Amino acid sequence: MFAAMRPLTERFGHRISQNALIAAIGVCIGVPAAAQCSLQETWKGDVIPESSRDFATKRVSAGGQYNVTIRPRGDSIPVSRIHSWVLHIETAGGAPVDSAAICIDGGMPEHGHGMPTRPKMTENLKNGDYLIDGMKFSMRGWWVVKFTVATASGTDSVRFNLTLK
Amino acid sequence: MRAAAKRAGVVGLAVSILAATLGVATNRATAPANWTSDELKTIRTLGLRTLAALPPDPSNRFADDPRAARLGRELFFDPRLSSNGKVACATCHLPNKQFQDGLPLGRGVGTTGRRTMSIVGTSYSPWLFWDGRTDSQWSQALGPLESAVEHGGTRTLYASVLAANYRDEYEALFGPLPSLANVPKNAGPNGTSTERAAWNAIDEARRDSITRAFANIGKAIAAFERTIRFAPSRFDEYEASLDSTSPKRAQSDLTANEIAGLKLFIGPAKCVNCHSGALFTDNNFHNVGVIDAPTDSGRAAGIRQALTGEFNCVGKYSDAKPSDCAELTFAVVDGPDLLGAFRTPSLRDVVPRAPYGHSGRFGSLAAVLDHYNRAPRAKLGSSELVPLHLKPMQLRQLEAFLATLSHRP
Repeated sequence: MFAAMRPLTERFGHRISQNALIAAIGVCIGVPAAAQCSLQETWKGDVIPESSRDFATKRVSAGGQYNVTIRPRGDSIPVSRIHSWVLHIETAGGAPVDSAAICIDGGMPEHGHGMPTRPKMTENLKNGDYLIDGMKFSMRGWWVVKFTVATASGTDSVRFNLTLK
Repeated sequence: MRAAAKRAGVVGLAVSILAATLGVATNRATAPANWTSDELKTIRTLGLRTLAALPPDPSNRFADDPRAARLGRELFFDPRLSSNGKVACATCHLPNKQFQDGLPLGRGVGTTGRRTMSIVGTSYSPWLFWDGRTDSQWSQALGPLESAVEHGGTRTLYASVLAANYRDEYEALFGPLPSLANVPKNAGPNGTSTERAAWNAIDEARRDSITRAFANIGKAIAAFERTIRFAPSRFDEYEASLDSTSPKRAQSDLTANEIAGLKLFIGPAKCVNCHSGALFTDNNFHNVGVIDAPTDSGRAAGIRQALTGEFNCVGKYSDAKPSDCAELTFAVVDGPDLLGAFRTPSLRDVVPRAPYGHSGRFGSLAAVLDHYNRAPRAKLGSSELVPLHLKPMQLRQLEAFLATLSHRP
């Protein structure tokens, strides 16, 4: 149950927490992707106006490396219930990416808190699809979900806006 | 006479203008049209009638067994389950006080470090205690039994209480009680050094069977606790009345102040950000700057205990399959949100539940609302609160709304 919308502009202007900066440094020096997943943003002070939020379900990562599509399982995204998503990742050229490590983070910038769970990629479904388990949103409203995708060719991240109704 | 009527008219007009300024109707609620469609959607998520069915607890296969609930009820009120024979679960979780005690800090055989939480509605929470250090009602019930300041007893003591007083009911449900021949009266892994040494002297198989009986005490108590539910409040009647087909509408209006409070609650006061859903809680953990002991890290420590707890969802005494334990598997285990964060309590029946906060530091709802309005910096971690700049009258309106969440006698 998320609204669709305009093409991507990675215009969040998020203040990255100290931990996220450490994570970014970790990426640069080649720390394995799994180690970065425990470092989360604070989701404080990243509020962008409602009119500027992009609710597209397919977006280009911030550095332009990957095209990423979210496919929540089921007809709608439930509130306060753990559920799964399928994430589809392609290269900028449209080829499925089959060897990615993925970190998932999310939160409510207006409320200053993160997701109530720490979702994980639990299965590589092949052809660029990955099963993401442990997704949970504790309430209605505007959420931002961030995926950090790491492959041999580089690490990049992408954010999706959701409005749970 | 005419002058008096004119004066009354002026006063009436002034009241109307004031009410319009506040965005509320005078005296009683009138039409649902007072609410925007977004507000109505939010209000409807708060009504008790929208509460989902009781979620199953796969970690406790006795959770919905009426025999377990009957045994659990007896155990809940039995003070023999304590080191001094005087402390039952009901000592701090009093049925006539919404299963809490009205004290700043709980008092068992000693004094606890936190406020006693109410049991009502906890069947819906994936995490228990203020810091969520257990992940089921049955594992929660076991914590106080072994706490030195709550029940203060040991596993062998509790097994002996079962054997002496509940053998038939217990064995009909759970199978044979362990043999306690040559087992010290007081031995347990979380007791005094003497009790721990005595526990370690018992052979492993016997320790396991005693621990299983101990876990079953928790499962029976949890089965009883699942029968403890919230009852509808005046707010619920109002929420139901917003459905125009409801015949109860005439009896279910809230006052203007209460409606103004509800508007603030779901609007500028941002209460609904965490106190959401039919139980007025997101069952999640938030730092709201309420810290008395800077050493109490709240959820940051609680999740560590939940992950390693002997009685958690994936432990050997749980009846769940690992795939049933998603909350534990996907728990947030670190990060900035956890430090100084505590579980959001329900606001149902909140008025008679003073004092407030995990340390019971707020003596009144007015004091709580003042805290949220000022949003002081956290002494530990980072508070999620921002100053609300609400006026005193608005704080009183919020308090008036909260009073509508009390169940009908």
